[in-house]
Amino acid sequence: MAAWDLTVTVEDLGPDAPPLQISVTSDLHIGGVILKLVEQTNLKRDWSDHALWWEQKQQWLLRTGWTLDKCGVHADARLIFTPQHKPLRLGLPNGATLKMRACFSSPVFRTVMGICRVLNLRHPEELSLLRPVEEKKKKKDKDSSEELYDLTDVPLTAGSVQALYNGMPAHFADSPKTEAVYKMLSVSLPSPAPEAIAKLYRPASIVDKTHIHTRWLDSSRSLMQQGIQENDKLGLRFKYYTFHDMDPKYDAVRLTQLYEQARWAILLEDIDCTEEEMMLFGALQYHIGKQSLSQDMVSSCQGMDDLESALKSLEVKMVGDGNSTDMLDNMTAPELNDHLKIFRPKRLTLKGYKQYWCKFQETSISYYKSKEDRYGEPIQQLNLKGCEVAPDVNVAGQKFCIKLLIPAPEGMNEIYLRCENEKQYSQWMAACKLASKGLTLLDSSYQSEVQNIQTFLSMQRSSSAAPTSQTDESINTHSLVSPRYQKKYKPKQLTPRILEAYQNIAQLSLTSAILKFLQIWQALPDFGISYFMVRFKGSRKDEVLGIANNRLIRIDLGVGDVVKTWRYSNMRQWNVNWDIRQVAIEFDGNINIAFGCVNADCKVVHEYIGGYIFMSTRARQQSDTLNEELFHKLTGGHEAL
Amino acid sequence: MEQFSDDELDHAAEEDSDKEDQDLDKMFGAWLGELDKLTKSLDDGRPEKVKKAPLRQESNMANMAYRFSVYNINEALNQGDAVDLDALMADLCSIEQELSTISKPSSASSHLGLTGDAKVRQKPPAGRSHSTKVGSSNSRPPLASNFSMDDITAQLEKASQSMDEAARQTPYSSSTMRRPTSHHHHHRTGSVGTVTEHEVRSFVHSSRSSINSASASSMDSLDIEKPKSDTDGLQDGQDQPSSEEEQAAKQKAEKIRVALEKIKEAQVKKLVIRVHLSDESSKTVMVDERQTVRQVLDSLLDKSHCGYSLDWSLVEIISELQMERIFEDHENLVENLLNWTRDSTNRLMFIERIEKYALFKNPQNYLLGRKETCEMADRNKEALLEECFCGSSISVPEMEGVLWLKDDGKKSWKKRYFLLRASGIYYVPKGKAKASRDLVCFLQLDHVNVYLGQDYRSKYKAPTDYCMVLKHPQIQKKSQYIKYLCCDDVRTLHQWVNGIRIAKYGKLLYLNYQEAMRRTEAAHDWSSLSSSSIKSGSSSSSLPESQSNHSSQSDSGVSETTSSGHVRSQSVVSSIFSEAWKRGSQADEPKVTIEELYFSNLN
Repeated sequence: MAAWDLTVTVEDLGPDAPPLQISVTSDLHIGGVILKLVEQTNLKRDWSDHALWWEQKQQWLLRTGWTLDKCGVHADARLIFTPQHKPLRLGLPNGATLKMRACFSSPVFRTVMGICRVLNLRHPEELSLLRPVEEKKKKKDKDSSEELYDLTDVPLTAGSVQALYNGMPAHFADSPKTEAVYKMLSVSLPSPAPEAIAKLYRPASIVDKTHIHTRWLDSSRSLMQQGIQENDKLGLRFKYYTFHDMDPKYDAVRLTQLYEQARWAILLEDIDCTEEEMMLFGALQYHIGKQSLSQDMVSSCQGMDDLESALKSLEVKMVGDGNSTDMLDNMTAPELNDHLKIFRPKRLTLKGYKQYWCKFQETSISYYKSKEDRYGEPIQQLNLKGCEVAPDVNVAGQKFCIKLLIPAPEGMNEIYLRCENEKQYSQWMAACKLASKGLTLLDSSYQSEVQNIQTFLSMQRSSSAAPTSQTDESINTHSLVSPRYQKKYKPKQLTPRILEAYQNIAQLSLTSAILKFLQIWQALPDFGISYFMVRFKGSRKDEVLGIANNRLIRIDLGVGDVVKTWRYSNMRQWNVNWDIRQVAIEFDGNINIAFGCVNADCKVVHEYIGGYIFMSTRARQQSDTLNEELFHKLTGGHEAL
Repeated sequence: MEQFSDDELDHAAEEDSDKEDQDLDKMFGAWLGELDKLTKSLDDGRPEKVKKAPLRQESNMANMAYRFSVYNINEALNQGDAVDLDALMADLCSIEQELSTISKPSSASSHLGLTGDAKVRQKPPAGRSHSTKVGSSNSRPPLASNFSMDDITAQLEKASQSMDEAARQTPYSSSTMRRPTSHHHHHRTGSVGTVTEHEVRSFVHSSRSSINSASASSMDSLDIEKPKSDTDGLQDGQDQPSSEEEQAAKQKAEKIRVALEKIKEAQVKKLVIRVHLSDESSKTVMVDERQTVRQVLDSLLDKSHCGYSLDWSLVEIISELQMERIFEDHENLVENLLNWTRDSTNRLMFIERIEKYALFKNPQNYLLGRKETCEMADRNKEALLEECFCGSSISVPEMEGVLWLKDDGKKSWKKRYFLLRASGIYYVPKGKAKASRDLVCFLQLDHVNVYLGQDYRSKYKAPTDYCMVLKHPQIQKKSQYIKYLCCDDVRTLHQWVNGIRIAKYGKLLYLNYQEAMRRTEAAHDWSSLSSSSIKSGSSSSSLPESQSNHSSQSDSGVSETTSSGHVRSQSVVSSIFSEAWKRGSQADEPKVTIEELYFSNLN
């Protein structure tokens, strides 16, 4: 057989080196080509990760057993000999950029699996990569200054089960640098400055939202095939809004990143919510931020990571060195006694606050005319069990009121307690909160409740004093809400609202607070809907198709109203006509719809629908292994095979 | 012996429940008499408490409970018709039995708690000086070898704490009424001197080593016993106490512990309640404060032989406000009944209500936000429920539309566009679109329950008869805090009510339903095996006996494709797909048949 010259560029020889010419015959297999190539370079190194990339055809020659003839390679082919794994700048859901090696030759689906394995994220099928929003040129200088986490040196481990070392997967425990990366991944980042939120791109309309989803990469083709170059930036996001088998024990990174994605979706008004919901989200963000900081401190303190051992040592300390007299003195009696001003709003009265001697005992407040009368009968005894407690506080105005709505057969009794100062307020407020849940001052959570209230008050103080300065201790409440509410309220108006919502969640642990945040996010009516601009067959105008985890929604672009909902459970079959780029779906009862995509690739839409159907098949599968084949069958169309 | 008498009573009830047994009646009368006496002695015994009663009456749970039960018994006795005395008597007997076993030790131990309790009210002004004295007494070498000290003190601490609790509950806990009350009385007038030396010492121990537990009761008892213990210490000098004393203290502690357990059991509030049936008759039953609605329903169903069905409900009827609510199965019945006022005309109905679980029988009518009723295959229903209730969060059905809202204090109704979200009920303010950000919160659901209004057309001039009411469960009278909403049709009403239930209880509702299903099926199995006649009403009655196992039943309900789906599952899926692809590549348009795939995997 005739020998001919094949031109191959070897990247490792440097950008200016001329391509190598190797003499081959058409029945030589790819493995043989590589062998010849390596011999000719005279370089001694590990070539195992290298493969041939056929530039004109935009495809990898990965089957080493195939002959050149079978691959269709002729003398005019320009091949590049290049590593399959290349560094990639990955924009994470929390906004950080991580540089790491990813596979450029396998389908994106598998590339994401590899990335997630390194990041210790379970269920990689829920995530995918998307192209970043095109940044304007003038921002170039800022780009270079952004903090970059680097994981490129971390070897890719083959095993899926990661051994934990120091509470993190072993490959993170190598150096302080990688430990820092793991911390970034698994601990939520502090709240961004309000100005930073306002600067970022926010979709203003449903049309804007359809643009986001045009940027998803095709899961069944490789990064190289989609024109992604070494060191390019891509976003890693949760794509399918159905989160399987979430377990805080194994999912530290997954939970944190999902929380970050949800947080940004809310801050950037990607998903709409009501004012009440926004305040609760704000309170939860504040709480999660604070808990993450304190968790840091605990984990840095060696030997105290176990709560139980910490408690034990505390106990020993108390029993050991404490002289009982001191202890008795330190012990607070389980009641509060103080002068408070009380106000009962009634119709047609303008009477203001009046001072009484108040006693908080068990779950009740008794009040007396004066301190001297305290052994007599109280003017009134209020049982707070089951009541609603709301703060009415303005630190700058030195107003510390507790609003109580106490249920009674006749209706709700509205009563205001006015405290003198922060200390008094936090004690009584904490007591009221506990009593409303039927707990007494003896309850162990009392002290922490008092503390929580105090820190929150101090936050209000600092934010009203210096609205721009931002430290770890104080957070501007503007950084907890979306720009819409930043505009609507001043920090000092916002803080009491968030404080009110905060009362109900202050006792949550870090993990439960994150779970709660996700739960409320998932309960929003518009949660998990990905929008695409489509044109239905037979229709002359553009419409929006919403794809959710259980249904398709047809939305009128003009009004924004839902026109029709189809559920996957009624879906009989769907297919894609690649020639005219049209997706056709048949539902029960002979309902047929067909549409073409206006701004996204038809494949993206097709993959989204197939992807959700794939996700629903996971529910009953006991095995942990991911059925990659099924995913490609459901999402790829015949192109994939 | 106890068991036996119970059985006997039950038999009597079954054989002829209408005949009132003379003996039982007498016993019951005697019991009531005793109760009356106790009421009096209670009132005499606690003049202080009575005087201290607040001028403006806030609801006092404790007193209410007591009054409530007495009231109901009296009512039952006066009416005399169809009172289920037998069942009641059985319950009372068991309580009596319990009491007789515990009355001895409890009399001794109740000293401890009561002293603590008394202290709470009469704090000696010189409290501080006492505590310093304790410090000095504590500087003595320990009184005993340490080997079992911790054990004893822990028990004692627990004892004193719960004694305290017990003492506080004495006034209304019908079961612990006998002995403790008399002691209560005694203690008010008596002195600390009645406490024995051993007890005093053990108290000193307990308060010393359990100090960091910050227990109120141990603190209190410590304070009041201190003077005595100091003198004690002086008498004993610095001597090591004999081990006999220790032994005695240990025994005492053990006794206290045993007594405590018994008291805890007996201390459980039990309420005698009257349950009305649909045929105007009523039953009197005793419920335990820990019982859930489901448990009460089960026992009612057991006793009434009325056939098992999911629809049996306990319905609260607030006659004054003309509204009613079906209690959810997970709710605590006594807690809810304690919200009633003393003079309440509220009634508790035991009745079949299809709307209780209609949501789960035909979820498509409630969860999909459709306007028209429709049919759905069983397997689709199950998938829909699974999707709605078993995900990582609860999807609240998208309820929205125009409802009528009653103006505060007026008989006029205004139209508003309302929306239901997981975070509460919202409305669209005038002149705004229904974007989330502009919605105004009408109310949040944490503190309110949803009731059905009865005949509000005439009572409040409502536009239709399909009204729902949102209010705090404790509100029993007309109030501005009660919100009235009116729907255009009954379908909308039930969609809203169920939507609110889902937003409020979430998965709990589904679990309740599943539990109720299990009960019904189990009951059916049992009754079909014992071949006793049951009223129809159980939907599964037509099924052959071989399917009595409920798991096989639920499978059969999922239709034929799925039962084979278990076996086929994945391999079938892939073969379907390869076929589809073959066809697809020929036609250049791959057809993906997902239905089979979807459901074989869902089931």
